[in-house]
Amino acid sequence: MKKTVDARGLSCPQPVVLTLKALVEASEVTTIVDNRAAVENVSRLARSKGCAVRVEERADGTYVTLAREGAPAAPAVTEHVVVCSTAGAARGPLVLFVSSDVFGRGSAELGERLMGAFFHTLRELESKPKTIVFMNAGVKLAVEGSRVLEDVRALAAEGIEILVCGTCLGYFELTERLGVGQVSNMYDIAKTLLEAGRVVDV
Amino acid sequence: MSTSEPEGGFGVVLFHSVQGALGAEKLLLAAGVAHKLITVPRHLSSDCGFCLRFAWGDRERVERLLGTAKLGVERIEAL
Repeated sequence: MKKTVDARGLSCPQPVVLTLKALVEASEVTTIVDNRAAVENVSRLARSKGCAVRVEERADGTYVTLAREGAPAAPAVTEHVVVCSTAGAARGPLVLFVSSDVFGRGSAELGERLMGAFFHTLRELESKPKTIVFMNAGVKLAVEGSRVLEDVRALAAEGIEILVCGTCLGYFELTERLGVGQVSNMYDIAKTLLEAGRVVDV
Repeated sequence: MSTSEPEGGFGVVLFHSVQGALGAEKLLLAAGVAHKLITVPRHLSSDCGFCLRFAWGDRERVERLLGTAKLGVERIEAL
């Protein structure tokens, strides 16, 4: 029996999972994919299942045909069948979590200035976070008189969401001096962190 | 601290050491000259990763202030 799996538009590891499922019922499976990683992953699956594999490039996708000859064979090759890139795995947005008013440890004087240079440089980078969360002593960066206020305001003006921990502002008695962003709470901050694809902790 | 781009643009002072950059920052702060300690722009290079950005219109003042102090100024460049 022959089966065709249309895995175009699907990301790792779906093409392999669907191919594997089809292989249980069919002796020949053609999986149509649209990216290089999927071609390699499905081909690896074929080898691991002892199937003959044929790859054919067509205008509408790459057709990877796996043919099982005779009885299901034991894995001929032991290798990782699915290799998903980390870029594909990260589905949520990039979040910058700033929990200190100094960058790194060792010298507060140097750390303050490194933080200033960091935010200045961040404005010039192409890949920017979707959200910046200021927490604990990090909230000192989001208030009037902060070395980085001008840069954080510019980032906010570009559409980057700025969340500032309200409890932390209260603790440091800085609530009245908030200079950028919105006062936030643990519910929103926890949700932002947990739904992030990647959190960069500063 | 500096704000938006001034008329005449910005200039930067490059230093041989971080200590020089930090010392100059204090000096400009005390003299009331608007400035910003930033990362050395990619197209420039210096021994120190920090440089001081200032309004190019303040160049003479900055040169005068830093000229008398031994801060290891490498050079001054327009941005």
